Amino acid sequence: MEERKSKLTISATKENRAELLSDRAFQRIFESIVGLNLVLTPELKICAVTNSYLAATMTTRHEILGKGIFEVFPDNPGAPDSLAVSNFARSFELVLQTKMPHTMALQRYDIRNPGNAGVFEVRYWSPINTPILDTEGNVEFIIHRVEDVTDFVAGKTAGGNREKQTQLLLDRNYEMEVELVQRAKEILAAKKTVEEHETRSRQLQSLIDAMPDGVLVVDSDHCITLANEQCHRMFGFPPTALIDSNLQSLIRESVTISDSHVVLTKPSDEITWKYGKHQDGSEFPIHVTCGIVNSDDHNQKIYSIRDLSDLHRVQHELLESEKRYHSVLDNMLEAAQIISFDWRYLYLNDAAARNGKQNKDEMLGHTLTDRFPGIDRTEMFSVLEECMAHRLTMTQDFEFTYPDGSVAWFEFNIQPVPEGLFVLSLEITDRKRKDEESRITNLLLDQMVQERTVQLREANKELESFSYSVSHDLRAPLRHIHGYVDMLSRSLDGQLDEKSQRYLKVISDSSIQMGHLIDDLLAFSRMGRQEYSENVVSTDEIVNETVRAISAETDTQHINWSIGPLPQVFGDPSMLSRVFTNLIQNAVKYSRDKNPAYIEIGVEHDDGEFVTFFVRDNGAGFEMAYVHKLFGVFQRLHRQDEFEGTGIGLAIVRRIVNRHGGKTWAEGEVGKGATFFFSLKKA
Amino acid sequence: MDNLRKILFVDDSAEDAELALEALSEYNLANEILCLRDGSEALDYLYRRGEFVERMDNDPIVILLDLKMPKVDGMEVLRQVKSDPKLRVIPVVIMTSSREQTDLSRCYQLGANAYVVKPVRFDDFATAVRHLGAFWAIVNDPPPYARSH
Repeated sequence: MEERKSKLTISATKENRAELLSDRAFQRIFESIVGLNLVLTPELKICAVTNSYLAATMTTRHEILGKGIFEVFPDNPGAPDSLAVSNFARSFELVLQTKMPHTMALQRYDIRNPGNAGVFEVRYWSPINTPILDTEGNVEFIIHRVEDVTDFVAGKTAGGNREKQTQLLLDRNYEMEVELVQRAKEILAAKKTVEEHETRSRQLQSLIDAMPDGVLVVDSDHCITLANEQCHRMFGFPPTALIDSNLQSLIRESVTISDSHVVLTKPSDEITWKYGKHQDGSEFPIHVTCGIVNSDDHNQKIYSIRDLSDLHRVQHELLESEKRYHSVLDNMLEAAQIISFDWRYLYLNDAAARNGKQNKDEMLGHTLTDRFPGIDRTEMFSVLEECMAHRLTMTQDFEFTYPDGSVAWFEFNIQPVPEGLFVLSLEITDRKRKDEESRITNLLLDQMVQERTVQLREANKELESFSYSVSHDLRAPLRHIHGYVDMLSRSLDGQLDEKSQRYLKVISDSSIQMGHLIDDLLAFSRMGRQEYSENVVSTDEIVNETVRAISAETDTQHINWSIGPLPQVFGDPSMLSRVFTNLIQNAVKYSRDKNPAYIEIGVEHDDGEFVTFFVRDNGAGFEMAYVHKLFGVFQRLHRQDEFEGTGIGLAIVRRIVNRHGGKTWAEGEVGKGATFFFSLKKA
Repeated sequence: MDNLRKILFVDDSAEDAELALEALSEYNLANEILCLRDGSEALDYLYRRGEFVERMDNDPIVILLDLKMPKVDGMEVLRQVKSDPKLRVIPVVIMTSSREQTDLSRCYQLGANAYVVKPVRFDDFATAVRHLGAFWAIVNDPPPYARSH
């Protein structure tokens, strides 16, 4: 269906072209029409006239064309009763208004005798006025067709008294009437033909104008008789400016048209001229085909011209970019090579030659085995063979041994291409060496870590057995010292002087103190090693229980307790209990000289994740300068005879809170009191 | 007859033994206190082996057992005694310097009847031993004879 349609279109175009080309011929035909025809513009100016009309009115084309009809044919001043001009004018007006043909009654319209100025000859006319409408339906032209019936009318008026003559005249009249009708028909038909031609011509013109290629028609002298819009645009001319100019002006001067297509014998042959000349003098690439116009005038040729500027620019850009890629490929760091199916180097870039340690020219065209004897026995080559045979893409690292024995590593990227294989390779010897080094380093590190782990495990084991020993063995001698001193003092009862008794007491007290130290140290060490369980712990309960227990032991001391609402936290219940116990015990101990003592336990800050607890007292306090020592093992800010203790309690607090992910800190002032803070994860 | 049954005191420390005997001497307990110096001696005694193969006396009324001893330690003695159907009725009191959590829980798991940490202060030590002796030898009703000679 589609195909048929397009064929139809083509044939229609050919036909139209033929008719359009006979446009001028049509003009000539029109002028030679036997009928008396005048073509008027809506302003009633004469724009075309037939030869017979000229003869009948004794005028020439030259003197009437472009003039108003009443200017050329005024009323005869000698026939004052003539209404011809006004009748004609009314008829034209009617035609313009109704856009319908109007046939007038017989008119007397005298015409001027050109040989005898001022003399009018009597004429009777049978006129018919027909409008020609343009595509919008407006009157474009009026065809004024007349028949000179002067002789007939003269006969009718002169010989009225004779029967025969009358009959003759009647017959003649009848014939005339018939003829008139006949003429009217002819006039209508002629008008229709003119209309059709005009319409077709317009259609064809717009069709040709719409063509993307430039279209030119020239006559035998290369004079342009037709050029479409595209053609004008292409060569930089305003519409219609090219008509009547010579084709030679549109092409390069060095090429003459006759050179180019003298042998043009059949339509649509390609023309050798490659460049058109623009109106501004610049040249541009064109592609031209030529055909012979299929009409009577075989010297007419039609050219179809295509502007190749865009195509050439694109081609040029393509070429440029190809060049660019080529140069990029040549200068790139990675080696690129194309290897043919018979293992020859088809292409090598500079890096490839460099990697091969040979000249590019030595390698190009030669086989791999030529240039690198023994290469066919390498793993690299077998991989290449596989890629070549099975058209595989592959990326792999290879170690390559040069003919001189040196060795290098390459990362190969192999791709099948129509010519064979495209191989990109990058030397990675350094990287390989570094990889190897880091592999060895890692291996050593691993070994070291393992060794350290074993050492640590052993150290940990030792520490455990150490603390076990401490637990068992260190206390026994102390116990013995204390026991035997006791037994000694009893067995020497009454025999010892005061000094000796004091000595024995110091020995005894020291052994007890050392026992405490050992116990605390073991407790601290245990805190680090003890299994840790995470539960939801109610600090409220822990604190109340602790306070109850401590209050029971310190019933002589007057303490005002203030315990705020305390939240639930995550942690190990026994460890957290130890934290509160140590801190509260400290608070009690260091505020024992105050009466009453104030001890406050509460929560100060809650950031959503962690909550800060504090234990505040109004006791001895401490100097902030030494705050950093507070939480250290066996670190004390008070003498033994002021406040007894081993200095392990806060160290244990810090260790436990740290294990819970929290922080510990303190504020204090000598004589005013101290506040201990710690944070725990909220439950 | 019960008061003739011995208190078995197993401790590698001669000093601890002496101190313990000193503490108990104040009670004038009728029960003989037999001091053994390590775990293997204790097992030999209980199983009538080695130098105790000819032993004729009854099993002890209570075993006071130190944990850390050369050769066979207290834990092992405890384990064997408590896993032997004939011996496991004998009350075993662990007397040790260690307050280690692991020791405590192991001992109770193995079936120790009591666990006492020896205090450093002699007064406290003496008190503890006296209490123990008094409790196990006098207050507590021992299990019936397993074997009689």
